[in-house]
Amino acid sequence: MKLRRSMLFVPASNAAMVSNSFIYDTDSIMFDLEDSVALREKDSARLILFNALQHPLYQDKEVVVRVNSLDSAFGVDDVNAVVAAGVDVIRLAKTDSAQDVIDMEAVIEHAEQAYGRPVGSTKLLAAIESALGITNAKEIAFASKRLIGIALGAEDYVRNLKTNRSADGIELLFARCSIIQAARAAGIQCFDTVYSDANNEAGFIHEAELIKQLGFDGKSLINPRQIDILHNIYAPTLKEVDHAQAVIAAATEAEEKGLGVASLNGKMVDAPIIERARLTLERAVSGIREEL
Amino acid sequence: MKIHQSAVAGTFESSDLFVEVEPQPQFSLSVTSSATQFRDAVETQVRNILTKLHIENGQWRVTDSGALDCIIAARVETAALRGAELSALNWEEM
Repeated sequence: MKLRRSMLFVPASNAAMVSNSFIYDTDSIMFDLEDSVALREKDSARLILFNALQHPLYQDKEVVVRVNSLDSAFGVDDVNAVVAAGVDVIRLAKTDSAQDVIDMEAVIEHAEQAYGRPVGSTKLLAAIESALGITNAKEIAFASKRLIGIALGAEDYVRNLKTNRSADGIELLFARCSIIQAARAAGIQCFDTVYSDANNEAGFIHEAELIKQLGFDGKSLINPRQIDILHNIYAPTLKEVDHAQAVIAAATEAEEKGLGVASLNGKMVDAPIIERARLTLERAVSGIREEL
Repeated sequence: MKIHQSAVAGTFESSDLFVEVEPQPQFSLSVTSSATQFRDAVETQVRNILTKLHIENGQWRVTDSGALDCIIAARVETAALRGAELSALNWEEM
């Protein structure tokens, strides 16, 4: 499963940001055609992405595009343009039900057939942003084989709850846990919402540590300064890396000897431990966290 | 594609391209660029895009502020669609 700790939002209408965002060491770039693009620039932003996605600069980067709702005047054209351009993942905003995912899947499949893309090659990410969506999280998570994950969109969600975001995020706890439970049950990834105050580094760190501990695979970001901070929080310590390497070595040795079960320092090494060791080593690619 | 109405696309910001087109029976194009060494390359690309869109009319004025080729294409295509009162390209042809 691909490492997706960081997904950096980039407004697709901003030529300079689209031209430069490939330089950031984020796991995925998430271009936005929805809320950050003014109505009169929807056509222009779509064409920027249609051309940028085919540019060599973006061939080695996973690109996610948040498209407009299929109910709007822009949604179907957005999907057609980005599928024709070879987008990796389409982010479906404001997902309230499994039917929303199924409807989007049908439009994507039609576009893949129309523009010569392999059917099934475009993946989906469903963002849940309402109480109804959270209530239907399990059905949403199981709605399509294209789904790489589900994500929380907190701003609309807290508005729907008739509350607001707080420093400790207590109002999001149920939604976060619901999304994690649904995603893990379906065997897909889960992603936390953005931290909107780009200048509050301490607040961002607090939230990132919380969502990592809850079990999220990663988080949407709105500022490139948040990338290294988030990757450092997800990075394992040297001790964890050493242990993970020992686990993999023990598992490999047991497999070569035809043993059903491996052991390390007298403890059984079974599939969940091996899987966790692999994830630890994947997360170490961007560095080792210093122990304080 | 025929230009029926005035249209603009893009901005004068760095890394962007500003395109203006006015309807007229004949075709004309002027290009300026903040990176003078790339002005001819920008003009060539703009002409190629307009040819691909089968555009043979309009007074086109393009101001480049160091845009990448993908941005140049997007801004010219946007102005063309707006000038022709169309909503989307034929993605397959592009």
